[in-house]
Amino acid sequence: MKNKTIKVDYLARVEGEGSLLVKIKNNKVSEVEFKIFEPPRFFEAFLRGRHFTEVPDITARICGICPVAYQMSSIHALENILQVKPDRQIRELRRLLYCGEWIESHVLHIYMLHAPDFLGYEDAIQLAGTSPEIVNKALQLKKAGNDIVNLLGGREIHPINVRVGGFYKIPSKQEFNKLAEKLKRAQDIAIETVRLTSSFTFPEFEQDYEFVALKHPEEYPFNEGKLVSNKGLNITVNEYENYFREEHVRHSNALQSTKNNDGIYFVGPLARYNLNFDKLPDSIKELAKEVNMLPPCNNPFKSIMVRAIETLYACQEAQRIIEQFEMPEKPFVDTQPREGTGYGCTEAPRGILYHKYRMDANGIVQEAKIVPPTSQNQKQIESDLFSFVSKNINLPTDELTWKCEQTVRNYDPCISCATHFLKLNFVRE
Amino acid sequence: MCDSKTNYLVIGIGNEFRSDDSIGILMSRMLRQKLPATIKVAECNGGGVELLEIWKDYNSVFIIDAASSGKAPGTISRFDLNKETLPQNAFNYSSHSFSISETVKLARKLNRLPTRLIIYGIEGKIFEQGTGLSYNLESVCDALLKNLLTDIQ
Repeated sequence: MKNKTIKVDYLARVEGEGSLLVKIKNNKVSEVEFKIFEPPRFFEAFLRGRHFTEVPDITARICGICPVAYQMSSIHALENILQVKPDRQIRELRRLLYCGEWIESHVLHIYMLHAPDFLGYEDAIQLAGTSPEIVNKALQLKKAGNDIVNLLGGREIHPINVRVGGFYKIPSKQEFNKLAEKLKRAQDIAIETVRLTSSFTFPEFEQDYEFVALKHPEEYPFNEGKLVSNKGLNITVNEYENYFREEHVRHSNALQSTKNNDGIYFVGPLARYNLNFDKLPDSIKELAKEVNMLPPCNNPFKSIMVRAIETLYACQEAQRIIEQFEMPEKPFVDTQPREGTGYGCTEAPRGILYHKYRMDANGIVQEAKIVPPTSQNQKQIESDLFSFVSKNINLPTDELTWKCEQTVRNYDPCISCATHFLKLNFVRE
Repeated sequence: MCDSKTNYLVIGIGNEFRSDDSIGILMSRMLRQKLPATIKVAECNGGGVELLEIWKDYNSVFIIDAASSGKAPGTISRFDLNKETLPQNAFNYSSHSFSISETVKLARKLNRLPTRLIIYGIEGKIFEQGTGLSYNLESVCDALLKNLLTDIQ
């Protein structure tokens, strides 16, 4: 058949509501649309007029899976305006909280959403039917992440303990130590996860990507660093809008980002890993070598392995932070309103998350801009679909449809996060 | 009423900012005042696999959630999960987290279902953003309390 249409009305096993359309004409792909029809959510609009101290609690509500990322990017942008720098222990605890979120989010995606693709199951329930021990371990690993966020964030979803300048309250050393015990077991499961995902069969598929991630001189990035790419980008976070812009396309309620107007780029675990492998501990580098996952990797289907490796890193890093933790004198540094514009970018589980705020002298937000990772990956997802279908055009439609869905899931898209804004034009006659 | 070997847990599920979807949460708060202190009451905003953790130490669990099956708002449906399965489309389905029926299926496969699991679905009408219910909470609460106490006896 020369003409056909691959249509998935409701993408399963992704976060949020999206669909997929691939049109094939005369045996060539003519059109690809990764459609996001989840309604826009207007967060940037209702941040306007709010006091800066309210912002982290509002942005945390953008996502139930990666609320920490939204809190972190917002507090860094606001502290950029306020010119405050929390001390080292606060900085470490922010990394710890982020470890919790990476573990929760990555494990959810690896086992519940993505692994069924590689194992030929409809969903994680089927996986639980044949391999309950794997799913039970996955839930145990995810719980370690939940426990971190629960203890330090005040609750598992939409944490409430984060404030501009630090935390409202810091748990006791004793409470942290209990957490460290659980993390030891979690690390073992994370290593098993790396080995399990490395046993999967990956489609032969590579593209010449531009990977973009944060890079820090001393550590694998969570909260800080410069924005770099494998194609020469090397900028500070406040230069972001000189290089990246968002546009509205007809078929998506989420804005799509491009670099230098027309460049498609790739953010997320695979980008982070390729650009920051040198910052991982030696034991993890050894394991990566053992499972044949040394960078550079240009196969997005292997992102599941990278998520497993990053989960292991997050478990180890969390343990290191807890072991070295010393209680600061105060849980936060004092902040006073200050007029200005500030920028923040941190590494959400799905990739870089950019925030910009403009604040008046009374500390009231005048303007907010939020660019989630899924917005930035949308064009890359469409590009992957175009190439993947072009190369596999003769696969039976059912199989090709399945593979297309899997191609989208490589990016772990968080559609709810991405649908934050829609430009509305009114025409009055 | 409660025998000493059984521990009871009531879980209210829902989103209190989604109109009638909040019924499980609101109901659990009301029941907390009315049920004997030996019966624990919990709230769950997300549902999904977190339920496996919430109920893990209890052998008799009652879940209250909003349902949408076309019946009159406020109608109470009772499902004994040890004897029957949940209707596929009656409870909120989400593409990104596990619904109640999926969670029950997963728990069954993992052998992590409580000895006794009963779900009360309370029919809702409006699931848009907003607070407050489209029907009277008190009237449903009395009926539900009666059902619950019968189940616990």
